[in-house]
Amino acid sequence: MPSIKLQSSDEEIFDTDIQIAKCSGTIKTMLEDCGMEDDENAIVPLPNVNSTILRKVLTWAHYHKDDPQPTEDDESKEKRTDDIISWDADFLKVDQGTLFELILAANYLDIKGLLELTCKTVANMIKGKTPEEIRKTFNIKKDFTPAEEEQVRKENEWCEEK
Amino acid sequence: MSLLAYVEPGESSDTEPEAEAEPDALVDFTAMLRQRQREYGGWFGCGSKMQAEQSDQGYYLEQYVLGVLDFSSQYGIDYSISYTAANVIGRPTKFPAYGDYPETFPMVSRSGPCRTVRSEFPFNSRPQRTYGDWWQRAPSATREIQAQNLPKLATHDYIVVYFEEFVVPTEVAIFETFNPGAVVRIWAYGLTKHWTCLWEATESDLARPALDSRRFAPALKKTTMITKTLRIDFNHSRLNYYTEIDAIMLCGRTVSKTQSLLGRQQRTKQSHQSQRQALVSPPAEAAGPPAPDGSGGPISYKLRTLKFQPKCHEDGATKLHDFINNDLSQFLMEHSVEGGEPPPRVCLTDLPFEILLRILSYLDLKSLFRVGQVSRTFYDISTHPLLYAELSLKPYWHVASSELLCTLARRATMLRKLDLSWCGALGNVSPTEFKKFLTQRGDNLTHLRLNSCKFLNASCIENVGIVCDNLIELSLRNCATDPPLLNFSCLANLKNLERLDLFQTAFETELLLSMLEGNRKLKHLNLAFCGVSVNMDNVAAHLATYNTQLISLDLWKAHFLSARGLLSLTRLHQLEELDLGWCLREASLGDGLFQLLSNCPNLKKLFLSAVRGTTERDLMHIAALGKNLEQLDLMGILNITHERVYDILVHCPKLQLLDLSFCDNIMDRDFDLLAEWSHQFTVDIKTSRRY
Repeated sequence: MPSIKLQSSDEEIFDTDIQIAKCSGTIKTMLEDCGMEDDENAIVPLPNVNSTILRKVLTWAHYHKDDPQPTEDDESKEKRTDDIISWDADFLKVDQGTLFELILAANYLDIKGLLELTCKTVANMIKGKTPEEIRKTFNIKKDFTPAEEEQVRKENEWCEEK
Repeated sequence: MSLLAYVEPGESSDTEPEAEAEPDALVDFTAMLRQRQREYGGWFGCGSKMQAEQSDQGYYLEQYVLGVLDFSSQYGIDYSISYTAANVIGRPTKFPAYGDYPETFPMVSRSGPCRTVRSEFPFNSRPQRTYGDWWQRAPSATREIQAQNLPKLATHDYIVVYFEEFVVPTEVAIFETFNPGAVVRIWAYGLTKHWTCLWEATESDLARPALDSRRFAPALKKTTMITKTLRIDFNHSRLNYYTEIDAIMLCGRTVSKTQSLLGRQQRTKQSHQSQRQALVSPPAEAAGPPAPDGSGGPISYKLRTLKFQPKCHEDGATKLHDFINNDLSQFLMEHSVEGGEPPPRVCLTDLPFEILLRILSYLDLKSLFRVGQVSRTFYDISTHPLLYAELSLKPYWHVASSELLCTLARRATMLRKLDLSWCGALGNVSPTEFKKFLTQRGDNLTHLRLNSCKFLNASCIENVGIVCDNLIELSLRNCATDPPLLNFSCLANLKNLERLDLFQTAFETELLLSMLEGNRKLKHLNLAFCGVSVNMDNVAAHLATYNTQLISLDLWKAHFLSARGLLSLTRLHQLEELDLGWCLREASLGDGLFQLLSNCPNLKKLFLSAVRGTTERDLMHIAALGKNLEQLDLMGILNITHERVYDILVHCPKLQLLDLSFCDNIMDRDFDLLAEWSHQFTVDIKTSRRY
């Protein structure tokens, strides 16, 4: 199985199976555009991903290497979040910082499945919480003026908890 | 805001008696009173002294349904009482017997079913396939709009019933007499015009119960609300076959001092509101201690995360002073709070706009609104039009209101799909607001579902016809009114329809014919149970002329479809699904079925329930030509033999569902054989074994 070398932002080198690396749209395009596919010694620099996160991403990609390619048709997909498999749920038992860095990495590397999974996970952290609980969970400051706050509260009257 | 919001604070402090503590002896007394009330024609009901004697406490009361206000679907038709929602009225008539009885209330929410008028059909029977997931596997299956709104156990059907007297509910008992286990939620409508969910099923509640009748009375949420109106939600996906409800009982303590109690609730409501306002915008004098929200600098944040709560009851100021002077630097060192740097890692708010938008796109509507209350940034993202391209208020039927529609109209500038089914049942959505919404947002709509919408009037439908000319799907199920809502010309403007669903909705034939002519791309048409005035032979002829791309057609219980109409249908070569249940009442169909099977090779679902002209030759044709058949319903076809069944099983390799209920020729002797074949051919064979 041919492999390539991926270099993280902190200059660690990851020898990676080429099929696994190609689950990243970004890497796939780079390889194809630069004709690096057959060059065993080529190094693909990934300046936006540090080694900790890249290691996690590759672990995920390895586990999901046989998944069917996600379809482009985003709109027709049901936006359900209760379909996360238990391996993925365990994989994402990480602190918030790591989770968000994974999202950024998945976005930069263009890995649809991982981006979808991480975004769903954050959505699940928001679902069913009160605004105050959401602020606490994510350390967000309330910055409404009283008038704005009153307006938003009025719009939200219908969903106030029973 | 719901009733419970201001009722619950009252629970602890209130002097209202605990309803559950009522001695049983009173039940008999109540029953006696009620008996007398019936005997003497209701004199007791109009403010008599007997009521006055009860006035302080109220009394425990068990009552059965007095009337049905609303339902999503039912199996029977309006001029027969068999299998209609009205059968839940009164005491159980069959319980504790188990089996399929016309006196009960089965549901038919999904595609085409079959049913009976007993005078026409000698043996008891038949409802349809709302059970399991068969309807989802049929070619006519649709996708939920804004599916992220659905609760884990979605509601497929509901019934709204009312009782004679207001009570504080302590128990709701549902008498299930056939395939129990579909009830997923029990709602009560309070005096304050809000729905409260008294009970909700969890996954484990739906573990398939025994096939026996049962009195299902789950433990209700404790409440002090007053109600005489209940809504029961059903989910059929776990059932092996359809369910039937015989009766519903509401138990609780009556409230004789209704007015005073209502007054108390409103007072509670006011104080609750003022409490909330105090939380929302704290008055200046209360602003001293660190606010309990996310504000404050990193130190106060750190303190909160550590749940730092120094004990300072009396001399708090001194202790705090001591702490700041002596221990603060030590504390800061130990917990490494840097001077003003927030936690160093990436935060949610650091994510780019398009990623936050993507995260929010997975939220249900309520969570989306709530996240908008977090901060300005989140308000801006949460109101982005892209998040409102699909809207479904169906799961929020109990809180949907004119005000909500008004808010959504501002946000949903890119709206494509809208589902307002089940909304507006008790006047909280006005036709005017709906029309305003449509005028603002209707012109780009491609999908519109208004099933069982109680606010619809003729002018609303007119508006749909005028504004929504890009509609691909229009669903107006169970919108029966008198006079019919759908008059000639009101929808004739629509030219792009691919799906039209008028299940259980009456319309004028001329309108339908002109719509068929105007919508040549029509793929799915549901006219099941659409009333007696439609000549289906004419409709079939029109379909054959103008709608040759039709994939699914549901004519269940359509009147006046004859063998001539069936011949027209055989020209719809693309058909994959056809429901002719209870149509074609003639003794012979000629070679109509043969033509159909020959000309429509893609047929996957064919329902012929009680099509009594089906002959042995027809069954042989099904075996010979039904190569793609997946679902076949032969219910109530009397002359079918087990040889023909075997034939079909052998020659239809894709078959998954075969309904042989009430096929009297094979019923009694061949059960074991059928079970064996079911296993051998991996086909789910339904039979109506009696219990």
